[in-house]
Amino acid sequence: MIKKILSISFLTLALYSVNGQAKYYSTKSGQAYFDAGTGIEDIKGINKSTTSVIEPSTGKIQFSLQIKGFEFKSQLMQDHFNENYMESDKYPNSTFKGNITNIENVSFTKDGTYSVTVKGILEMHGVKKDIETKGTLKVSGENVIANADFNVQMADYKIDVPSVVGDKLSKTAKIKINCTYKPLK
Amino acid sequence: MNKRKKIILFILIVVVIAGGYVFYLAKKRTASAADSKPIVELASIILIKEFESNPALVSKKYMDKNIAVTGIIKEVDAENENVIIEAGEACSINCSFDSTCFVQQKNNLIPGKSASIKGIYFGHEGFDGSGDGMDLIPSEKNIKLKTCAVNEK
Repeated sequence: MIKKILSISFLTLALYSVNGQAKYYSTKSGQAYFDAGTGIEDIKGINKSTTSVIEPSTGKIQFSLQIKGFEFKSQLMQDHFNENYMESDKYPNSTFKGNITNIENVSFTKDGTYSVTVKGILEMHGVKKDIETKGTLKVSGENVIANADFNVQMADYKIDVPSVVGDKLSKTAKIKINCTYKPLK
Repeated sequence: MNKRKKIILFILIVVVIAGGYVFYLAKKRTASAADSKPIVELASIILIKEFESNPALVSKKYMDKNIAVTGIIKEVDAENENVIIEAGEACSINCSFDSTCFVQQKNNLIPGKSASIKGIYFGHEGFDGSGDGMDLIPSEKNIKLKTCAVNEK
C-alpha cells in the first residue's frame, strides 16, 4: 500500500516541474481549419478532433489529425477533398512535429498572451516539408490557448488541382489552428 | 410539333434535369449522424476490444458509418463541442458533436454519467502500434467520431 502511494506521488511529481507548471499540456479536441476557396467557391473545412501536446520545458510541440475528420458544408466538397485531393484512404493522417523557438519568453504560470515562433516539419499527403510560422500562446489559469495561421502550397505536398476546377480551388491553402490545452493528468 | 422541335424539346428537358441534379449535388449538405440511425450500438469497451482484434479490418467496416457508443462520459469540452467517453485503461472514444445538437443536448452530457452517443466513424489512433504520429507522450487508444448527437432510442 505504502509502495503504491509512493509510486502515485512520484508520478504526480514527475508530471509537474518544480515551478508548478505541468510537464505536458495536451488536447484531443483542437480545431484545425482548411481554406482553399477562391472568390468563386467557398471551400472551407474544420477538423474539431485535432490531438496536440506541448512540452513547456523544451518547447516541443506536436499535432496529429485524421484527414477524414475535416467537415465541409457540402457533401460533394467533402468527398472531393477526401477522394480527389487529399487521398485520405491512402494518407489518413497529417502530423506536425516542431519546436516553439522562443519558449523562454512564455510563462505557463502567469496569465497573458505570448507571441511565439514555431518551426518544424509538417507531413501531409505523404510529403514532409519544413514550415515556420508565428502564433500566440494565451495562458489563462491552467489552460493554454494556441492560435496560428499559415499557408501551404498544394504543389509542395503533391496535391493535384485539376485544371477544370483551377478557378474554384486555390493553389494555396490557408491553415488556421486553434487549440485549448489542459495540463496532462 | 415536327420532329426537329421534339428533339430540341427533349434535349432541353435533359439539360434542365441534369443541371438540376448537379445543383442538388453541389448544394447537398454533409451527412450528419444526427440525421440517421446508427448501424450498430456498442458499449465503448466492446468497441475497443473489437478494434484490438483487427484494427484495419474493423476500421474498414465502420469507416464513414454511423455507429452508437455507450459509456461513461469522461470529459465535456463545451468550447469545442467535444465529448470523451471512457473505454478502459488509456482508451477513449472522442466524439466531436454536431454544433446544433450540442447546443440542444449539452445539459444532458454530464461527466461521470452514462450516455449513448452516435457519430460518423472516421479514424483511430494507438492501435496496430502505429500510434498517432506523435512521440512526446505515449498515445492512447482512441476512436474518433464526428457530427455526433445523443442516441435517442
